[in-house]
Amino acid sequence: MQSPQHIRPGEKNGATPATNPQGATPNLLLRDFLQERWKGLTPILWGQQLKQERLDELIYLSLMNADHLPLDETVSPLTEFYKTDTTPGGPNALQSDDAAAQAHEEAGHA
Amino acid sequence: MLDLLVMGAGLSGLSAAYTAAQAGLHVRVVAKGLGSMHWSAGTIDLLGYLPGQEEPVDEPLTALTHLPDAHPYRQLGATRIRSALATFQAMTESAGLDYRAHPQRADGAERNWLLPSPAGAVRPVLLAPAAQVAGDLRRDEPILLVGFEGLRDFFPELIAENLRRQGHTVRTHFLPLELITDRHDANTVQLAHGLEAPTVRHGLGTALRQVVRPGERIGLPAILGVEEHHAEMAELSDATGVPLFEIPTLPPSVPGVRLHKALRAQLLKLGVRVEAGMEVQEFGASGDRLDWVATATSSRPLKHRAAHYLLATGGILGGGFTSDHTGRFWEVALQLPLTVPQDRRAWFRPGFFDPQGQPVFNGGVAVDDAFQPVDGRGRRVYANVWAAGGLLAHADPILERSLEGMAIVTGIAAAHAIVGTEIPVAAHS
Repeated sequence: MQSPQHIRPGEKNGATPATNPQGATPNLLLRDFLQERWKGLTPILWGQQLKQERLDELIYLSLMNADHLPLDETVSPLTEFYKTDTTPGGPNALQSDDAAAQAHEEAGHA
Repeated sequence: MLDLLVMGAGLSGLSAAYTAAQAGLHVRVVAKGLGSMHWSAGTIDLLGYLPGQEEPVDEPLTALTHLPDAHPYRQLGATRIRSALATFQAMTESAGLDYRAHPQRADGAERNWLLPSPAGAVRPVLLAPAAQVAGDLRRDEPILLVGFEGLRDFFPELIAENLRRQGHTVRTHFLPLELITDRHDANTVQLAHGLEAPTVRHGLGTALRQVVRPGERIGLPAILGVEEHHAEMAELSDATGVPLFEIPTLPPSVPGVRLHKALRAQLLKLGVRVEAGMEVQEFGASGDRLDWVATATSSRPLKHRAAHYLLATGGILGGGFTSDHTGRFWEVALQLPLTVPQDRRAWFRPGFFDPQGQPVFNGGVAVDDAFQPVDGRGRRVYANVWAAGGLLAHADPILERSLEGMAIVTGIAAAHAIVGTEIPVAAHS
């Protein structure tokens, strides 16, 4: 699954070429891959799939420490995302918790 | 009747069973599976990162005070944690496994080792298997990383590139997999068993001697034997004349298998049975006491009655909790109350690598000072039930890199609470 930023003009179906146009390092590509997968997984995470996700965390975070790999100064399409403050309650927080519930309710009453 | 029934055969359940059996209790361990040791690095991580901080923790026992008040480590305090870890070291030592702490600072503070991960990042670890300590990245000998052609779970080039970018001197060399086995589908545990044959071991020593340069240290995937591990390390050190170290591989983890085998062997010596394939299916309670639990067997459910019960089923990772699409989230064995929000929208943050972690993994079974589960108002749920390990609330052991430390120290602390003794304060070594 790809985020809109990954779809480049003129590319068929938004598929990225096999080569790496940004010159991004493997560490950056791994980070972005895990982030895109996380985005796709969260809507269906519960039960056994949530357990499987925790096993992924055990491997990527605890064992490989992939969130502390050196990234140098290279940029990727997700670089801006990582600069965004998504603290719950903050201006860019995920539409979750009360905000989403409220939006849902308001839509229902309209 | 049993004195103690432990539910869960991971690091926490086994540490607790060992402590209680040593104190003279009649203990049995029942479990669905065998814990997560086989997937981990085999190190004892006490506290590697504080929530929200990028830099690894250097002195984990000093850094405890920066954890949230409700964290189980804060309930215990540094002195009791220190002595629980000493119990663990004594237990593994008598099982023939050598776990080592980093030399302390002049003022006596314990430090984390900084060991290479299978991706070439730095892992902060409090107690390391002896075979991993020469990999410490505070040392400055250049590293020769040796891999095996076709081994799928160990990537020396990736590790070397990332270590070089962090300022270390590393070169790589590949040996043919045929040195150990003719099979091309062998996993790390099969390779470790293959290396127990004296001729194979000798062949590896000869091959390493031919490529190593004086002054280097050699890093190898963690496949250097299971039963014969220490002898194998000694023999390869002799053959090469340089320090040698293992780097943990992707699962299955040979260092984790060694640890699990050692703990099982110690429990067997104490007469404690560890039964897998026996997940809790039912329980009976009267008033504030748990009377029995019934577990699965190959035939009909089997009832166990005990004076005390310890739940160490490991939370989400261990299968102790489950959940559904409506946001319902529950503890599967005893239906204990959990602190996890019963609303799926409050479970996750948008970033996978969010330094604050995912809220769903911070929830669990809340306990009082004696490690007995409590409800939302702080009242004990059962008078004879205790809880320990990955299922505890107010901690995210994977995010904090405290998975093994949490399992061991809360397991041992809960066992002491059951026996009714203080954790012995170990002589500071």
